[in-house]
Amino acid sequence: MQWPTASELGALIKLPEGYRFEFLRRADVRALAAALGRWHPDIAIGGAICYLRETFYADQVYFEGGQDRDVMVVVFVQGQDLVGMWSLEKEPDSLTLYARLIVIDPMHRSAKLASNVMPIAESMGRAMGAGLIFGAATLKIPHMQRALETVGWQFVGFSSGYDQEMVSPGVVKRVFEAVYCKVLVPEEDLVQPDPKNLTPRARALWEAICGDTAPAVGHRP
Amino acid sequence: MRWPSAQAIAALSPLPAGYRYAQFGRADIAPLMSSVKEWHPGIAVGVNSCYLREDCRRRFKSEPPRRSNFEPGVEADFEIVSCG
Repeated sequence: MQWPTASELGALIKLPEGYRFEFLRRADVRALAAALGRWHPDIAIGGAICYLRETFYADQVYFEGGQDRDVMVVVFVQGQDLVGMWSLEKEPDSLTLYARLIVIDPMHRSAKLASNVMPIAESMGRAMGAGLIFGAATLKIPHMQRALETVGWQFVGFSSGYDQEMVSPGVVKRVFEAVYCKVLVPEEDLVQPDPKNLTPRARALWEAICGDTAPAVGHRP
Repeated sequence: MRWPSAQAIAALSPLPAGYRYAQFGRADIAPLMSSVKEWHPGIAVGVNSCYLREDCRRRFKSEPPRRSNFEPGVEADFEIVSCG
């Protein structure tokens, strides 16, 4: 399960005029970490805090041409300026992709850079052999939920207390998040659970969320 | 976040007579992989297949929401088997 090259990624991603993307370079790590703190101060609390630490990039992030690693970071650039980032993590054993983080400089959010890359994540996943891509959306604001639903990701439930957020100045609490996924394989490759193996509660939730799995099956020949 | 010691786990959740928790060591890797494959052949496919490789390294801090590492077929005559 190999990350695409920059040129392969370039063939998939079409950004608005004036913007381009690049794999994160080691020389840009410090600038990106600093920019993330400005663009999205909430990142200082919770699971994405690692993106503020240079050691995280040194230890876990893939740099083009370097050792294969499970976390990829792409940056969006305008001129010479970093204006956003997108990070995915691959799980080779389960052939899945985890959409970890996407942050855009507030000054450039009208360019809809995030909306441009969502569908690309699926194309990239398929090209890498992934069968599923998934991610979590904050319930603090509805934007990411809407963005994921717009590109056809299926809402599959809530993660109870999975991550932490600062809910008011100085107050950190564990929060619910919405979990979304997109199945990348044909429907015939997806096993439906036998109802007898589901508890009544699990069966009710299955019917409510997955009764019609068509939206989750995003295979395109 | 630090994992508890085997003694601390034992204090939290005592096992039936005759069983004990033991700290997993490098010398246990090969026998464990062999046993897990025998106990739970289904593990050869999927996310937990890494437990059949000596270079298995599981993520914890970035672990997305997912099922517990406890696997089916693990409870028989109080023989609890889990490597997760």
